[in-house]
Amino acid sequence: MVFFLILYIHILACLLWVCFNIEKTWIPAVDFIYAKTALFEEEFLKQYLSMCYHAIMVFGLNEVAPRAVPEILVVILMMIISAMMNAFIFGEMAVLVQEMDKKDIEF
Amino acid sequence: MLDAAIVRQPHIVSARSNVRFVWDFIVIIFAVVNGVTLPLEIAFGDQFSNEPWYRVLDWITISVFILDVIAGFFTSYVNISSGDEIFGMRMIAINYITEGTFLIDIASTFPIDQLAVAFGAEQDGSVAQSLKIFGLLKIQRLRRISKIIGNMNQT
Repeated sequence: MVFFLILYIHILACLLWVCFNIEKTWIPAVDFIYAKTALFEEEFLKQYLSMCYHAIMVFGLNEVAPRAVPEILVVILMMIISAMMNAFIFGEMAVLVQEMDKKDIEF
Repeated sequence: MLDAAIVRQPHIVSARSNVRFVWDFIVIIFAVVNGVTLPLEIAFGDQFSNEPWYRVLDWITISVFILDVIAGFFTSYVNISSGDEIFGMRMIAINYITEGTFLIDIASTFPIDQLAVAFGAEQDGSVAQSLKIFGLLKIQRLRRISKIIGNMNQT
C-alpha cells in the first residue's frame, strides 16, 4: 500500500511537471512574493523534489495555485482522483492494521 | 479435445512451476523500474534520456516485456470451471488472447514511439513523447504480485 502511494505520488509529480512546463507561467507558493520563479532553470533534483512536494499537496487536496487553463483542468481532475485514492489507500491501510491487531489478540 | 489438452507437454511451462515463479518475479521488478523511469522520461526527459545507461536500460526493459508476451503463449493455465491444468497450445493461445492480458501487453510493450520516429516524427517531438504514455500500461503487470503472494502463503 505504501508502495502504491509512493508510485502514485511519483506519477502525479511527473504529470504536474509536464503540464506546468508547457506555459511556464506557474509559480510555486514559496516564490509568490517575487511574482516570478527560477524553478524552470533549476537543476533536475530541485525540480523533481518540488514537484513531489506539490503532488503531495494535490493528494491532500491542498492549494497548488495553477494559473493557465490546462493547468487548472489537470489539477481539478487529479484532485478528484486523489480524493478517491485517499479513501482507497487509507481504507486499505486501516483494514491491514485491524488484521494485525486480530493476530496479536490470538496469542 | 479436452483430454488431449490436459496431457503434460515438454515445451509448455506449468503455471505452478518454479521457473514461471522466478520469471514473474523478474517481470515484476522490471515493471516497477519501468513505472518509475517512464514518467520521469516523459516529464524530465530532455535532461537524461540520451545518456547511454538509460538507453541500455530502456532496451533491456522492452526486450524483457516482449519475451514475457511470448512466454504467455508457452505457459499452461488452470481451467476455472473444471480445475484442470491445460497444456494444449491452441487453447492456451485462445485463453491468453480472449481472457488474459494479451491486448494490454501488446499495446504497452510495442515501442510505438520508435515506430512514429521511423515514419518521420521528430525524435523528441510532442508526438513521440505523448505516444510513450502507452508504456504506463506496463504497470498493470504488478497485479502478478498478488499471485506471487498467494504462492508464498501456500508454501
